Amino acid sequence: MSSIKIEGEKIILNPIPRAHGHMEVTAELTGGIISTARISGLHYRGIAEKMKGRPLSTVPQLVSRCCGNCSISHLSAATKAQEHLCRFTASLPRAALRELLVMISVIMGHLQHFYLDILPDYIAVENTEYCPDSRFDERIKRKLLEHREQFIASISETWWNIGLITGKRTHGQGIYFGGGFTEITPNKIFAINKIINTLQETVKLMISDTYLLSERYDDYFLIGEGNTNFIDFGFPQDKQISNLYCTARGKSPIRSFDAISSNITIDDTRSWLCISTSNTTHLPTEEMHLDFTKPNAYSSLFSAGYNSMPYEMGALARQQLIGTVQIGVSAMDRIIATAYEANLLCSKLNELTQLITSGKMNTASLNRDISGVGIGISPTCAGSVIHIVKAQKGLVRNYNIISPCHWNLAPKDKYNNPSPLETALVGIEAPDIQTAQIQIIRTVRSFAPCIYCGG
Amino acid sequence: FYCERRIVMENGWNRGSQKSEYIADIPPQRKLKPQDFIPPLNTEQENELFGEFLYKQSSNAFTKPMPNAKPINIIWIEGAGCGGEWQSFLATESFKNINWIYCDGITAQQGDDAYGKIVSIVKAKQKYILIVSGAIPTANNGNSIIAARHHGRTVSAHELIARLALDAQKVIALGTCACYGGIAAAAPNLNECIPVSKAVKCKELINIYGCPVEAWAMQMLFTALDNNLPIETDKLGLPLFYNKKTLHQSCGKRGFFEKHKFAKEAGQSECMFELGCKGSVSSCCCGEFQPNCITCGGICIGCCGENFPDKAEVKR
Repeated sequence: MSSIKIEGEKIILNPIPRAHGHMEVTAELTGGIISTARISGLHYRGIAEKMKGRPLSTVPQLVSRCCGNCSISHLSAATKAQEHLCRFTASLPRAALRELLVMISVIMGHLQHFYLDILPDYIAVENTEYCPDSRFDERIKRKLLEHREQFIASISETWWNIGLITGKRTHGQGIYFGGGFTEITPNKIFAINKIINTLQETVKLMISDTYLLSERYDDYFLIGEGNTNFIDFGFPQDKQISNLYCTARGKSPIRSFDAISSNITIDDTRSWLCISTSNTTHLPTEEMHLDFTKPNAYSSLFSAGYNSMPYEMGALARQQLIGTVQIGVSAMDRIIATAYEANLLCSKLNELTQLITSGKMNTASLNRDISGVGIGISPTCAGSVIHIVKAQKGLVRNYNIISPCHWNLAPKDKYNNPSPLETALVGIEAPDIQTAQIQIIRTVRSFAPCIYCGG
Repeated sequence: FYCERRIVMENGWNRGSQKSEYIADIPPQRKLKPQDFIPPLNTEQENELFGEFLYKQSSNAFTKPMPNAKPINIIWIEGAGCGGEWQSFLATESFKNINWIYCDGITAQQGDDAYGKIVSIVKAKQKYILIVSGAIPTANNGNSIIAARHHGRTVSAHELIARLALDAQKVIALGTCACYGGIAAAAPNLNECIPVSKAVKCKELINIYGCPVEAWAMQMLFTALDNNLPIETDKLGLPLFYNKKTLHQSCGKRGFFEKHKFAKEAGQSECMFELGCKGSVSSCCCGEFQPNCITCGGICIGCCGENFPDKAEVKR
């Protein structure tokens, strides 16, 4: 029996484990259809605000501590913002090393997302003995659990090998101003090759498991459509190696700061955060502070939009914008896109490794008295993180982090536009509250939520 | 050891460009307030926090002992953290005797099903160990980070952790944020984060520092828990497996330091001292385990220290 709390026809889900941060989903079931949905991010620390007054050189290592899962992506975006600020172009080997680390972390993110976050919604894992609506027979269930265990067993070694380049598994130091800096020695090449082999093997398993999942749960191809507006800023972000993977079409790539500041809008109407901006530009914002008495506010995340319109990012958005595969838009399509992208990225890792050894790691030093504005974008498994830094005489004056959760999981904006996840939840048909809960939670997790990145 | 540190301080520490002149720009951390401690709850408050459930619990698997083992019940609650400790935990070997009551990365249920698991273990007065990762936010009565909602009432991370700590066999503060405040409590500290030691009253507190906790420390901790071994600690709650040596003492680049060969840029093989390396004052065991920030060519930023990050700024 379920223990869902009913307040009229309301479903409130909090806590939501495996969502990377505290969040709450409130939905209303009217006549067998979810009529309203509300996503609240409840995990705010103000990491970007903490950067104010600090010297630029210390910022990347501190700001990457925003999220333990997407740490390398934040580190990469922060260093790119500083390079943009100094109008500095990283040399090819160093840029390639940075992109390689980001790619590996994205693939690891996709694998963890599938095996650790999504799979427990569909089969009972380990000793939890909990899985409503499980449709697999014993044989397939055993196979899936075996693959999951195989992946978990491989994490330790993979992280150790990544540690050779970044120092630590999470919050490492692998990237400074000018890109990756580690001296590439034979043992590091060996470690990279081992990582690639492990990832390629595991991704193959993930693809077959995704196929099994989509076959058995084909009704999820009709659930969680979202607003079907997609945005992406390219993967990889570096111009020098953009031939390795298609940069997305449509609204990207946006590279100049003017394009970002004039087109990307941030809105705090339903957020406890109060954001003040300068008269001339939206970004970077001048100041943020928390106000829990704000009327109609229900989330600590602000909402980001492109010309005040909400857009979806992530693996599915990237695949939709590339247009290389015929893929729909639904909760199950998001999982398939994740597996497809992980496979695509795996096939590019070897080429990227060759670029690292193609030249010498040249030196790069940050101008300590620089003033101006810089922007850095880096992909994560749930979309792209954007770091915007405004510096004055080498000290940070303003800092902004716009993360995938500000797009996908945002509260409504001032025009009452719902975020992609809120749109995806509204309209789900469910005969009873228990079924509604299962469908809601599977749709939420298909977006690869990461509230930590929200700051 | 102290002599060595003094020599380091005199000879080199002030010689490099490590003066923190810009620290003055960052406002000081807030002082502790009396309300940071949540006193033991009365019956009415207790009912409000862990009141009756409208529906019966769906599963009782968490209280069922595993065959041939004495399971250790563990509740892992995240405060103002980043999930880094969970990533470190994933890099450890598997453990057989641990019974996860609640953990953000594992729990299969959500909503009241998940919160109910915590409630039933407390109500049944079963033994459990509380793990806290991330600092404790206290702004707006702790509601800047909300851990659950029960009967329409929000349960803040602060009050949930404080209540669970009272009955826990031991409380383990995982990570620099939980031990000392860390990056979560760095200025301007909008949600007024404080370390676990200043926010809860408990029988035994163990502080495992690191940003995030290194996988080897995580392995040692969970192996001890898994096998029901005691974890010996000093007066500050730090386990004795941290041997209190500075990174500098066991650093692989120590030879370069002795010969006064210093790197001009990160990634070079020489000693990073002049670039602002905090190894000489970081009492962590990082140097004894590889890989670490130094072996990859990086610069120690002192993330294991009590002063991280505000008083440990590194200028490069």
